[in-house]
Amino acid sequence: MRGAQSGYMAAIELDGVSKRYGAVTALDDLSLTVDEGEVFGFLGPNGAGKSTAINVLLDFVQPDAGEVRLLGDPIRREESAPIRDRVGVLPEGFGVYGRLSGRKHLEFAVDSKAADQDPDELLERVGLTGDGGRPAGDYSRGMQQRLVLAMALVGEPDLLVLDEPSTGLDPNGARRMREVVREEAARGATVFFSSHILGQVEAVCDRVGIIRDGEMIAVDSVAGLREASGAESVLEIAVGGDPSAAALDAVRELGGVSEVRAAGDQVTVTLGGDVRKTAVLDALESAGVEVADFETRETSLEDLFTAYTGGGSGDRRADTDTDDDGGESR
Amino acid sequence: MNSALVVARKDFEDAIRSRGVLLVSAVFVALFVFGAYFFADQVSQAAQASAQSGGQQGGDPVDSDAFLRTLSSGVTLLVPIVAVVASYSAVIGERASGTLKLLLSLPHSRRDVVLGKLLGRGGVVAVPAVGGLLLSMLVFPLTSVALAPLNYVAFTALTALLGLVFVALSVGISAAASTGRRAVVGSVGSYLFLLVFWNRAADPIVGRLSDALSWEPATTVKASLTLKLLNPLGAYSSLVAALSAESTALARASVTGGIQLSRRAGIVQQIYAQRLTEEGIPFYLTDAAVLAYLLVWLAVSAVVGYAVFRRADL
Repeated sequence: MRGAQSGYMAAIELDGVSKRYGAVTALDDLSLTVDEGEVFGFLGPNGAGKSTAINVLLDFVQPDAGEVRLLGDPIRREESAPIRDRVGVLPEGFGVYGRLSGRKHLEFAVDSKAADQDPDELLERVGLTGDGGRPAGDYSRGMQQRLVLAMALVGEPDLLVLDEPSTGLDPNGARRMREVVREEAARGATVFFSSHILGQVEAVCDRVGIIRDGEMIAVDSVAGLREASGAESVLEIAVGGDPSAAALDAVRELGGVSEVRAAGDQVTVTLGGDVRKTAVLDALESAGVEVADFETRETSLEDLFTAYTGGGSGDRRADTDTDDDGGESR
Repeated sequence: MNSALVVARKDFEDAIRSRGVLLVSAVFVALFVFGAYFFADQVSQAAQASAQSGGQQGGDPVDSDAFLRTLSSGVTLLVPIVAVVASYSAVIGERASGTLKLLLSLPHSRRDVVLGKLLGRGGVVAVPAVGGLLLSMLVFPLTSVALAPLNYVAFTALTALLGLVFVALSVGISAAASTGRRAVVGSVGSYLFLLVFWNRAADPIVGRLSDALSWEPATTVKASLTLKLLNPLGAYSSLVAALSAESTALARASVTGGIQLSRRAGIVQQIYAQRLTEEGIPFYLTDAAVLAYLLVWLAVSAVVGYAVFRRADL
């Protein structure tokens, strides 16, 4: 394979990439390296520059400064088509050909990549079995999302770039999306996908990068990020009967526990980065409290953000369910 | 398969599923086939009337060339409109709907997209036009009007080329435009400019140049004709006229007086033709040169559109 001197190759390299739209800085000297074979989650609130960065990778948008490489080859305007033979893309803000069937879409992708794949197998992989004959214009947004994911899988690409792949998917579809990502990673493909929701990323990613205001503010594993930021998770415990004050105090004395509250048979424990859930449960049980059930609520990306960036982005809400990343890419 | 061809095939398959394209095909076939039928009917009625009135078989025998002369003015209006309507959204429409992101996510360059669109939309316009014209040839053996097949085929080819030129113009504008509205205004505006204003502007411009540079009358005639033949509509009309005109000079002179709907050989045209005949046809007024003007429109439109599209951010 081509690429770096040592035989090691980065699947994606962004080096000092900047992009301005008028007075708005979308990307500010952004540098990022994604290794071959890893699953990389690209996180950031809407408007942080995720889609602009991906548009630069795909040559949809030309950066004002900086260098971009995919699979070792530099991305330059009109020279990147051969590279995309080895890349599968689920772009953000795509549309489908309303009059063409799902199967036609896949045949088009197969022809375009000179691949040799059965469209029906691809439809099955994304859960669209039986829908291939219908015009894609009749599909729901979630089905269109699955269809374009299937198009991205054509030709067994070395690199998958998925921009907000879970948009419009129901929980079932989101699970299938994660399965596909795992299967592709197991095959040896590099997967790069963006999201504004941490939950979709942490389950499958080897590493995560967080972008804010056009700059990478952190690149690490999810656990590493959580630890480094000191962000907290919340443990909800259902107990048999009212817990005693002594039992609650025993939990409070554990290192890393920042808050303990009880309401009826529900105990809510807020945990710091380095305390184990089992320690909390053990403490309760040895104080004579019967643990019926428990559930962990992970900190949301927004909480992690706030923790990581010192609360600077409190006015941004990541839970608005739009896939619009600033609107500049439309 | 070549990347542009993959895009073209997808585009064609998409377009033929739209009602507008089916409508246009029906209009073309109906116009050409029924046009030929009514023309032949009129001719045979006229012949009968003249036979009944006892007069000798007067005038030239009418063949299908006369029909083509009648048809060409209608074609000059209709085919470019169809081409513009079929093509103005070719690229900007995909940009606005987001399907362009699917295209460019696959291993297609922007050049492949422009070329593919040119071929795809070209097929959408040319296939029904050519089909309709070839179908209308079948009418003549059923009537008393003689068919001149070679000229008919040449007319069909020229009409297809006229369609392709306006497809290229609209696809180029569609690729260069940043909004759908600009693409519509640009395409329709270009067509109206070529149809209405170009020839009106030509004579005053040539007149002023002629005064300023003290041209010979023959030079003025050649300059005026050349300018009008640089208009693709003029080039098409003149090439069609050349199929059945007595001389190339007359065919070239036929563009004088605008892209007109009437076919009368005006006095000015006669004078121009006479002058050209005396002078000899210069190379830039030969059939080959006029054909080249059409091809230049096709190529330049596509290349300029691509050059702008190449630099654009999606």
